Amino acid sequence: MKKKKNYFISLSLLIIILVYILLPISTGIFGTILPSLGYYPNISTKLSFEFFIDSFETYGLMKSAFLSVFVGLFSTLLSLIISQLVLSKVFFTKFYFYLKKIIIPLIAFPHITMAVGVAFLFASSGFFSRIYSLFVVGLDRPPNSNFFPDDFGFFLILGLILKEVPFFLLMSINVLSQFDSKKYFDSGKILNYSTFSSWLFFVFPQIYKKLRLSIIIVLIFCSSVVDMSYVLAPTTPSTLSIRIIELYQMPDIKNISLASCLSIIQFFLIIGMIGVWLAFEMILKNAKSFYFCLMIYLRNMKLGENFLFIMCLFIMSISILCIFVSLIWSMSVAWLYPDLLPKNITINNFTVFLIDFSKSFFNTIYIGFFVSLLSCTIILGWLEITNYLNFKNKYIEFIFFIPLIIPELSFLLGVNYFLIRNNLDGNLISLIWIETLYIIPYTYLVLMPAFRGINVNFIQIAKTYQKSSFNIFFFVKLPLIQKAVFLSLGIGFLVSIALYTPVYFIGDGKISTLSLEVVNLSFGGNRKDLGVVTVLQMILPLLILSLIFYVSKVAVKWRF
Amino acid sequence: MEIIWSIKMRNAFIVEKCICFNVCTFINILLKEKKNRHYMKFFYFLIILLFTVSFSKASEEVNLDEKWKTIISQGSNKVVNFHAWGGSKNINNYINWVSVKVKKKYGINLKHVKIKDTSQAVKKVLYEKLSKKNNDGSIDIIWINGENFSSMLENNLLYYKNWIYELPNSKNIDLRVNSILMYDFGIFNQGKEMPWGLSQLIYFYDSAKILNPPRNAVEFKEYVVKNPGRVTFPQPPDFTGTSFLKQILIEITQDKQKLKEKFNFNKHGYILDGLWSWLDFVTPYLWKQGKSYPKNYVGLAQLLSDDEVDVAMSFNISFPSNEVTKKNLPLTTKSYISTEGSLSNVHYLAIPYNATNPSGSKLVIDYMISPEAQLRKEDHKFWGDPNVLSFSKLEQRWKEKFNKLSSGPAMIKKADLEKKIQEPHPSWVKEIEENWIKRYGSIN
Repeated sequence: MKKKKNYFISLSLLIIILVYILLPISTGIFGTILPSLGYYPNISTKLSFEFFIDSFETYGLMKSAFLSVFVGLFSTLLSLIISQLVLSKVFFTKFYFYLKKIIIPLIAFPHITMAVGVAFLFASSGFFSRIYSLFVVGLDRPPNSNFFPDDFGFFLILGLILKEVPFFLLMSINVLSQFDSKKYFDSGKILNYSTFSSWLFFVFPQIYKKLRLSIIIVLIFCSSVVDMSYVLAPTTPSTLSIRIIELYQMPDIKNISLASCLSIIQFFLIIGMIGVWLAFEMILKNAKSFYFCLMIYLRNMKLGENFLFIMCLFIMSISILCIFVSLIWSMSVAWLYPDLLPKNITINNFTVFLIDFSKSFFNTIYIGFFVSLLSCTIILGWLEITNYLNFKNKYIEFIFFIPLIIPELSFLLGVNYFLIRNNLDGNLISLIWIETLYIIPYTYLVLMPAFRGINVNFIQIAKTYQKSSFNIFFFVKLPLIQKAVFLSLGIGFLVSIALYTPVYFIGDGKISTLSLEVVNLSFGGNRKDLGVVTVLQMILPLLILSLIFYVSKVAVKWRF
Repeated sequence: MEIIWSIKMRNAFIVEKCICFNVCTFINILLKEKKNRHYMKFFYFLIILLFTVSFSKASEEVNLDEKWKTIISQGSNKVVNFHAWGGSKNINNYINWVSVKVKKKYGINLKHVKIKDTSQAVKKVLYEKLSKKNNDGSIDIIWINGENFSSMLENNLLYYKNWIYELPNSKNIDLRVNSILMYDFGIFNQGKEMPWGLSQLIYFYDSAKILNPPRNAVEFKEYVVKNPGRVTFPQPPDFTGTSFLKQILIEITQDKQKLKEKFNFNKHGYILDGLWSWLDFVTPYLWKQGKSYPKNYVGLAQLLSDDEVDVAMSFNISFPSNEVTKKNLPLTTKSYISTEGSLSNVHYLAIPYNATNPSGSKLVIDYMISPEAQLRKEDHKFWGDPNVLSFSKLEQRWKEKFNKLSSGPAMIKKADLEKKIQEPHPSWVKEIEENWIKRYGSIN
């Protein structure tokens, strides 16, 4: 009897978790689809496709769409190639140890800080322009060139690469640690392939299948990114995402419909891009003769690949320069144009933070705290209950990844519409709810292998002591996966710090976080303030990470 | 409720009129019969005086006073949500000061909801109307003007007509029907929004680097040819950028009266063509060949301080002076306006039709237009936004205080601000923005 009762409770908990995830998503999707068809309760309930026809006439739509597709495909492809090139050169050497150390802070920096860093470096009054002015006599004004931002969004691609390469590296390392990759690599080497070729043709095919989901996530992210486009994309016209947001802001029902239509068009565009990617994959897989030709042609390009490797290192070192330049801005007194470095350095700029940005700072911290805690609890609950019910279904767990796979605008517009209509916008609870959706996938990725990998013998022993499953969960399982739990909390926090679009749409201007402040300041406003906020946003994740590592160490000590 | 109340009032009035009439005829009859006319004349006069005083004037004043008292009792000690653009530190601090004051005065908890764009608030009221939230809306006051106001007016999203006359402090403001303050971008505001401050388009530059900045549309044209890449404006549909285009449009248009009319393509299309030919000529010489633009006026000011452009512009006349005080612009910064006069408009405070606490909103707005609050607003140390009060109506002590206000470092002289030109009809804004985006905003 009791068992039956427990069974029902756990089943209903599972359903609650599913509803928790699916409810906002379905609300969002309906909230986007209905306005796009011209359906507004109490005003007009007639469905029509006229807004779709109208939305195709938006000025520069084709250019914006082309820009988004171009940026998405190229940044994904380039980041993948760079990450594999770096891995091939480093993975089996002693430098791998250092690489592992560098990746984590690089991943921890929010996207927007990298974008601001790139802008600090490449803008016409930026750092590189200052260096350039050393060689050109009489250049006491910033050059009036169209170098930055460029028409094709190359700087946006650069910014995205800086962030996505570490992500691909981490994901690849994660996969590589699951099998003996050295064997495959060596077989390539024995056949006299160069380092990169033996990686590309022998190791990479082994890991590709497991990387596919991350590639698709990156593809979607890169072609729909909002915060980085604000800083790095060209403005006449901008990327599709920004056009959608601009349309959505106008106080007119017609524009809401148009924006919804465009976001649906964006959705199909991205589906199309994924289709193209997968089609190429199929072609490469099936056109074996072509593949072999490629193998033979590329088998020995040591010079070319070394050159490429150095290029990659250059590109990646830009991210270190970004950090450096943001730091200088945050501490500069007056840094006028031709000066390579500011004349004076002060830390007084950080008092601005105390006055103006402390609220956003603390908002960021406690939202991050709640969100990571909540998503960790949800995933642990899910794992424990499915374990208890002996319920294993791969497809259901795919639900966790839906928020990453839908372009964020096409469902956030709808959520925003719903929230405003019910006066729930700017509400902390709704913000935390939506943010958890974005964090759950990462938490799941960290916790799932650890939890499912718990040695069953420990649990058997505990069961022989007639411990309840509650006790087993808290006193046996949790301590065993303690490290993963702390890691998932940390990663949840990091992702939450970097989120921009959910805060923009759900907070609706009433809840401000650091990433919102950075974007606002990057529109205009003081570079020193921008430097300060950017540095804060860089420091915060590092602080959190070190705190997490410290706590997990201390916790291990205390337990024994 | 209100209808019933007004019917009751009207009935009472009719009854009183009847009584008055009856008494008068009665006295007349008396007068005819009695011969002692002098005595009765005095009596007659007295009665009429009594009636007129008690029923016409006195009753009204007592009514207004009592109405205000009920507003005070209804509105005090409640929460008032003030949705206002939160992009400027000075303005936020000023609103914070207001909230401290009204907390003290009425116990009102004024919450400044810092929005990024006023259209957000308009959209919110619109959504609330869609979902039939007709008396518990989330917005009590909006800081508004221009197209956002006309959009609210068209969709009937505002509080009832002429509420602004109910506020005691409105006596200091010229709110007659033909006053400039009553026309928001040329649209009569029907007494549905209270003037709060004035904006005017000013240009500023670094006088240490440039001697003769361009002072009107013709000079701008010559200037960009001589100094390519040294002029730009915020990218429309940004508010300041569009205003700059409007300024140019007004300057190059011969028949300025036509701009006051609602835009009609057949009738007014040729006027806009003038603007497009001006822009066609100028755009290739703009900053970055007109391929990118700063996002807003703050971004433009940053370009000025980086010495990427020569001239910047703002709708907030104290902005350059504030930036100089913050050391973001050099001390040699100077501001000026176009020789043809500059675009000016009024910004307002409005109450949405579904405000939860309209009485509280009235109390707060009444405080915000009081001489005390307007004085602090005009002080460039706090905000620097010109007041909307009529000087002649003010008490002597306030006049003195306003005269004592010092001017900021890069502040434009008050006399220079006299040359004002009115906004064109709001329908032009959309036309200009859309066509600009079509012609220059999506060319790459």
